Amino acid sequence: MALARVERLTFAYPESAPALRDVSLEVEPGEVVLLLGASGSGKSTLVRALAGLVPWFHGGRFEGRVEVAGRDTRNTRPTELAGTVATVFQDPEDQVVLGRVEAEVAFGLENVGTSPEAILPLVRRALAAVGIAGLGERSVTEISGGELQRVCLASALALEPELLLLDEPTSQLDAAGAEAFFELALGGDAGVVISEQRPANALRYADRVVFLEGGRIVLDAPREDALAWLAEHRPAWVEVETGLNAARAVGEVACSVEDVSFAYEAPVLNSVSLELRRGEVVALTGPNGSGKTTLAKLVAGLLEPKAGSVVRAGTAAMLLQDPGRYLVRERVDEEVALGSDLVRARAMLAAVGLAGSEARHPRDLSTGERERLALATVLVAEPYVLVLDEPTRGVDPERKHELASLLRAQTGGRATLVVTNDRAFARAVADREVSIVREREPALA
Amino acid sequence: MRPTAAAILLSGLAVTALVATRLWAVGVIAALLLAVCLRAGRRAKPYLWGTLWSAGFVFILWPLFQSRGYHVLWSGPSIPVFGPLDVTTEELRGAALNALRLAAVGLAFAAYALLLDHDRLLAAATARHSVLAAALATRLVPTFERDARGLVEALRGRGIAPEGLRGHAALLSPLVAGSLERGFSLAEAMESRGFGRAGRTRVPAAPWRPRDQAAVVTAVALVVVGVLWL
Amino acid sequence: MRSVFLIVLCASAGVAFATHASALALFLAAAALLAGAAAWLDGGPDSAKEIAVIATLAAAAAAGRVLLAPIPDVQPVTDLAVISGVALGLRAGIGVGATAAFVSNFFLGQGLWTPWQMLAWGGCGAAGALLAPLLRRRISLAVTCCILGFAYGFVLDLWNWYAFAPHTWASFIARQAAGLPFDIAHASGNLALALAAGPELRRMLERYGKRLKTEVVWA
Repeated sequence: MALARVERLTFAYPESAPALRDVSLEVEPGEVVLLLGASGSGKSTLVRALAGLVPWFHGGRFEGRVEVAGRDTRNTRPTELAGTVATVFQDPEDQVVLGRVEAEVAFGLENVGTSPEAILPLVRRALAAVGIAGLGERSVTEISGGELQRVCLASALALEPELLLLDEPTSQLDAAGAEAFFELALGGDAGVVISEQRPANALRYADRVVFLEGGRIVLDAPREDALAWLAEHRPAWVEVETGLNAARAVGEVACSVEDVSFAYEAPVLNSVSLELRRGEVVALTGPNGSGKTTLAKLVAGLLEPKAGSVVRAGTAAMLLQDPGRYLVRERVDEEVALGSDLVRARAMLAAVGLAGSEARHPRDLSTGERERLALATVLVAEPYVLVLDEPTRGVDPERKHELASLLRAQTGGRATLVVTNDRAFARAVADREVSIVREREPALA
Repeated sequence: MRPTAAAILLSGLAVTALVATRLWAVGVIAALLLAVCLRAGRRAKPYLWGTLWSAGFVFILWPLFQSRGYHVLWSGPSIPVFGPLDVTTEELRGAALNALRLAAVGLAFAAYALLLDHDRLLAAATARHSVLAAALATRLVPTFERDARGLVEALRGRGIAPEGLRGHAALLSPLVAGSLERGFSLAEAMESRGFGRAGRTRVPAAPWRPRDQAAVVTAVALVVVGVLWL
Repeated sequence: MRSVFLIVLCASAGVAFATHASALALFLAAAALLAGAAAWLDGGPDSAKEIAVIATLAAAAAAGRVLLAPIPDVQPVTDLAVISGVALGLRAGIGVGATAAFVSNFFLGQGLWTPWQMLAWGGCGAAGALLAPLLRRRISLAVTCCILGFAYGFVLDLWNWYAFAPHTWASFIARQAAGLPFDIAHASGNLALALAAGPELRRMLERYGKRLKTEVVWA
């Protein structure tokens, strides 16, 4: 008997086109199913349908049937399903309710009516299972993002669910953190459904792969067959290491960083030098915490160096992480026109593929559309130096290729610096790569 | 000591200060609470300054606006509406009493804020929705501050610097919009974890230790003594 | 259980008033009012969304108040509470005002005035909800927030006077007069913020308000 069954589900959020069209899926107990698809393909909606959040939390038009552990979601609210189903979402900041780790993990157990004596032992066991047994007494604001996401995982595992749902759980984590996360999440015998845009890690653990496009399932196959299908039909999703881009002609120096040092409370950068020339794209890579973002902000002029100098030949613009959060106007075209004027704004919107969305409210856009909008807002002012900080976090592989092409095509007289952890993207977008290591000396690569 | 017990003890002290009419008793309570606050060290400074300011204000104004007593220490001019300005020992005593009362209550609150575990206390309270909203809001304040800094930085990255009151006020709406998006994700996570289901249980609280019981008894005793004798 | 607690509270308040223990009486009265309001708010439907929205807006108001703390009495709490009431209704308005007071006092450490601030700001939120149809335009909203700033100051000064000052007209006027510069700062701050951003905030909150009540269409 299947653990979860989705039968001919067609669902549309309120006042929107259908997000899922005629989707059918079965999950067996203990099976690991990986959902792949671009932003807007319906993967998150499908995950939420299995939790009952669609339709009860979001409202909308629901057609078809979803059954989990024998219960039909038409008659069962998500709060009733909790405990049988547990979900870990993308951003730990937006999942944690209470201030103390132990209390936070206990929250779910309390809600489902676990007997009081059993609560704390279950909490401690779950914390140990995810490797953070010592953090029980700590405040959630003191621990790192990776540790916080593990707290969320512990909260889910403590409920001993039959079905574990993971909605892009590693998008805020770096590569090592993501690997560790999957190891921990998939160790048990619950059925697991993972929705991901960066398949590299998750593919290793999946029993079955489902590929969604435009709300429909186009592939539902065991892993080996799925890998073959993807390699043939959607090669972008099976990351292949490409060679470096051919060298191109570059112009004079657009930005010169000389012997720069910077410290917050502790020193971050020590005597670093870097040169960016017009027309080139440089990837800045290195492990987390090595000072890449700090160096990027120094190049863009958002920070002043404590020692050394940064000289720019013209204006600079920087696109920070999670730019979709920082949109300020009520219309898409006004948002882009903020650094410029409406005419150039419209042209730029067309260039990033958002022509036709001028009148929409920026916060009504999907995540992928917001990223394109954010890119438009920094490109419109035609800066001499453009800096992007981790632009591919949470972005699907096809969109990454688009972004790489767009950045390379549009260089004009611009120098571009891209901070990224994503090796494949670095190779696709850059002319050369600069690496920061903990010794805080950049080495040209 | 368990936060609820400590909170009860502090309230007991504050209530006693408010009902007592003997100056020395109120003074002792205020001094006691001051000592407790000082245990928090440097952090106590802003709280102490605030209380000092309010209590001082009361002390200075009180004699001027009350005309009572016979032992005149200073006599000033008569002001229309306000009446004669004078300072008598009775008035000074009244001023000191009320100033010390205010100080005692202020210091009791300061002690609560400085030394007690806010989270645990909120967890102990029974009114569910309001308490959860308060606990959640407390947790969200640092997130909001971080989002605010991020927004200003993101705008600078686009070459836009908010200027003046209008410029900064215009940021409030998008900031709150971003927070509300977070809030909805949070609500979704809460529902997926069963919030709102009937039959909710609670983590068993630590048992009441003798210390905690003693604190409550002391608090009650103090109030009774204060009413009857002080 | 809770009703017993409330009755005891009201009884002690009555006794305290009768025996002229004014400060205590007012504290107890405030506590009773707040406990009653909390009980009323809790009686509503269990909604994670509502709590999350109230907590989010209260956090924003509290953070703003902490940020502007160096400028006495200028803060966004009044305006945010009022606009929450206008856009999202009575429970939201009261919830945001009272919770923001409680939470910001935790960070600023002015616990002594907390119950009164909770009542006063909760009242502002309620005013916003009750006057909602009149507050859709920039000027009327701004003027109302300005007036509420003075009302807030009046309530707080009133309690302050009743609890800790001799009960004479002279001292009452003195207390109100002493508070006047702060009240002016408060009201002007409210006015300025509402003029600069009032209707935008209201529109934005109404957009999210729509998502609070979801409707499922079955097919």
